[in-house]
Amino acid sequence: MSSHVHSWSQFYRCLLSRGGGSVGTGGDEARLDAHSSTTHLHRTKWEPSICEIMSMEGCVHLSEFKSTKGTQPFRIIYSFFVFCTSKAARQQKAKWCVCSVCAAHAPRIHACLHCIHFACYQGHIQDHTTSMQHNLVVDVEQGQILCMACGDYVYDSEIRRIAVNCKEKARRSLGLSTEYRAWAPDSVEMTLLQAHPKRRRPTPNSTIGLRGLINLGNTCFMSCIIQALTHTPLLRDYFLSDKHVCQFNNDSTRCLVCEISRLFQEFYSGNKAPLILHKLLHLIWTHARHLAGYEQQDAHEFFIAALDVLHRHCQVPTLSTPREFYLSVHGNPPSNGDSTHTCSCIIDQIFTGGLQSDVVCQACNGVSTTIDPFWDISLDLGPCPYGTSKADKTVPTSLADCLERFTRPEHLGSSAKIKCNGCQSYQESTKQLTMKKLPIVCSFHLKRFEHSNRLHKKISTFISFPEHLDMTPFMSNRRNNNNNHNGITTHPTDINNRYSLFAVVNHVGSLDAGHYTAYVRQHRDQWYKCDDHMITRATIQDVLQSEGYLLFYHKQILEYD
Amino acid sequence: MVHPGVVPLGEEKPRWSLPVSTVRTRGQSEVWSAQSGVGGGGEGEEEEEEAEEEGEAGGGGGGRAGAGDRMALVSALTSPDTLEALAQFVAQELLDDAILNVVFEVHQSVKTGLLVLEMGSLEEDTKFLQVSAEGLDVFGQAPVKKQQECVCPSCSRNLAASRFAPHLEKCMGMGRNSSRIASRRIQNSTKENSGGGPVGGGGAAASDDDEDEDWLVDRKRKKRDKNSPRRSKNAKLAKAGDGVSSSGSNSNNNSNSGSVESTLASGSAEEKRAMLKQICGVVSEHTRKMCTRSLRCPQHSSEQRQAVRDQVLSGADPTTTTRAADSTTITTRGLGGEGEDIQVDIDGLDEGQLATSWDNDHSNTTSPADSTSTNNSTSSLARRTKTKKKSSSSSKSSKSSSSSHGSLLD
Repeated sequence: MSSHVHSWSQFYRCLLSRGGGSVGTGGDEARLDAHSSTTHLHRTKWEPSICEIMSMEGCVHLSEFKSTKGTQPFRIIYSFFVFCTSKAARQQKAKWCVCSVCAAHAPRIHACLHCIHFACYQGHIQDHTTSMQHNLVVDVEQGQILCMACGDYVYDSEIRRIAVNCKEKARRSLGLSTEYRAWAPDSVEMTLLQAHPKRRRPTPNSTIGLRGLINLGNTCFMSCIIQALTHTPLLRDYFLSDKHVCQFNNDSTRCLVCEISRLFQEFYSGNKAPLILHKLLHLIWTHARHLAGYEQQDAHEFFIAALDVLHRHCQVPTLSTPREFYLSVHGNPPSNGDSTHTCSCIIDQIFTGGLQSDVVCQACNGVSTTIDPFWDISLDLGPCPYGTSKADKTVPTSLADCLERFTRPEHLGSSAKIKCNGCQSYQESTKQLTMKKLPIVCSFHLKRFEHSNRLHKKISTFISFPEHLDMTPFMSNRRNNNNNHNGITTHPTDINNRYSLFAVVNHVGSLDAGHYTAYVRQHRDQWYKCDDHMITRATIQDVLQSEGYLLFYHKQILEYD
Repeated sequence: MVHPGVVPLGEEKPRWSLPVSTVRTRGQSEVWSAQSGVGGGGEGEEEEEEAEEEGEAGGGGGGRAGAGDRMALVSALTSPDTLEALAQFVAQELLDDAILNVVFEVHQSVKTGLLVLEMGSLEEDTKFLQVSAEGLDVFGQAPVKKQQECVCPSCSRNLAASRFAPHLEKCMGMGRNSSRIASRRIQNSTKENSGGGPVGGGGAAASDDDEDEDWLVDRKRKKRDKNSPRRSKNAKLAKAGDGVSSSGSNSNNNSNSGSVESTLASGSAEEKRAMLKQICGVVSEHTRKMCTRSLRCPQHSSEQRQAVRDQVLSGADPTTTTRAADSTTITTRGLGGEGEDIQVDIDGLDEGQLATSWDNDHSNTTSPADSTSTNNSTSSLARRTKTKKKSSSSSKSSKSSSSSHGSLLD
């Protein structure tokens, strides 16, 4: 076949006529062309300012080839032999991509762009190019173009686009999601990078990323939460990579997310003077009226309110309420039983987990399950007021104890009968909370402030918490199986459920007069104590020995969707 | 460049984790289909093995099984040694692929100059080094508090950062006395604005500022005469007596009055709406005044609030309906100099439109409010008579009229 077919287009037609299947090229090509013409525009704009090596222009040989034969050969090779966009193409690739000389599939088969010729990189493709004077070949695994005349792989933005497009289609045809691609600067960012050649690299011993916060008058509750937020690894990555798209025209006097974004810039600016968060306070007060007012505030309440405002400001303006959003996605309103969380803003991506609540009817053993989103987990510290068993009487001494208690089945008692769907009557039941979906940042709130029976007091018992936490025992699947065995048996742990401590908020003093401080982690293992404008070094021992009011854990392993 | 954790290896993962047994069975079925004559070839991509076993493709270098004979192939695959070798081969292939991927990525960024660009020139980090010394923070700063100043986003005043929270509370009209403070504040601002000049404003603001003194950075001025204006900036600028400083405030006002005046005059639905976003607005049955508490005011129900809103936005003044024939009734034309002919009760107007200006006014002349002292402000009557005149006797008028306005403050 290759003896009488000399161009890739012919070859392509040949493949099609042999029933190789159709390759959807028509519409996409038109789009591709539109794309490439815009890149041309871009290129002409920034080209002059870019130095010699800074070219996505390929080489003279490639340009020459493109001007005579167009991009069609690239498209065919890419969609059939590099990134197979269909099953038929995969079959063709398996069939054709072998070295025509040594008949092996390896190593690194290249396809000649000028004629239909496949050969390996171990000399045979070189032989072909010298004997035939065909300079351009394509690597069939990675899709890179090798110019023999230049003796190097060359890069061309137009061809690159074709390749990327084909690769995406290939993944789709295999049922894979979009591939993760590392950040690459676009032309605007490129010029910015050129205009600002200085780079700052925070080292473990630098002050970059740390900033004191001025107390605006009993606002330490805010300072410590802001410190915890600005040291949340994923949130930092989000804001430092400038991902926020504002719905208020980047007006940081109206948008809390923009204000937080600005804070991150400030934290990493290298400026050493403490920051004044007056704008932030004003924003929070305007958007969360229940927090407004000059008084001692609860850091936990502030944390939740801040997340709520951030979440609201993140939302796509056209879909203002979660309900509308849900409707737009699913077409029918959510049922009460299954409140699926649909928001995909950065706050929900990082902080929202799913809490499963199982209510078991004591009469018929019917289970009613609901899953609710949560931003944090509030853990009781005192002895259980209604409990009867021995386990209920003991006071927790560690975070694991608290979590164990949190996820323990709770008897709802005779005064709180719930209508059972199974037996259609009001029955006593037990309720159990477990983790259905873990958030990326898991925040625990130790309920140190007790307000019961008109008695307000602070519980200052020491609760130990680990630097690394495994949430596996508290997962829904794990916990529910354990119900009958009473207690947590040792199970192989899932590495996806592992967490590391990165911030701790502490409260010192009494209920009515106290002060908040925060410990934050920087550079994986450096700890700092943030006391308003004072930032000092701390050790992990200091952190683990502290009382702990809010504990922030970050997932150790992140998966990309 | 290559994101940690997502190195192409991750991408290859599904292939890696293919259990050998699956590979084998799928390999078999592929061979079957190849035998039955489907256009040639297994679906190579994922399981390269298949392609290699493919007789038609002429594969089979190295340790790979001979082509063609299905039985031979199956038996070869069942032998643990061959299987091991094949697994090794596939693993090697995938590893090579992954490495090549990275190599190409780096090559490209070097060749296109991106690497150089991304690296840039490293800033010297010595100036950012941490200090570890007793009594100093990591920045090497001693914990001595330097007085920091900030500008209130609500009223644009300059004040000490450490007193910002208590200031903001009052500035935003919250807290214990917020309602009356806010109403006074609103009142002051309209008087000045509607009058086209700060008639009497100097006096009013002065007394307000007096109580606000402790927020100001400049504490030395605490003992000044009650009637002298005391806005932090102007006071500093104008060191002379009342006349001079009030003219200082005049200029300040004038720069600002334009927008507020127009707001007042036109009073569009938009602005009314803005105002109603700030205050409760329900008209009291006893005092016949609009409630100036916040929207969450517990005294009135949301139904009541809604009713007022409907009324206001439909063009009617809620207070006139109950108090048409009042001696203080004037037209807006008289007040603002232009605009509507609607009969408006002066007090209702005051509060309503003032709320609008409260929202917009950032001039220093309005105090963000303060304690409960009632000594303040020109009355609406006084204002009317002195419209558009810059009077230096503002303090007098303020005193004389304070009683006439007392009703507003209860």
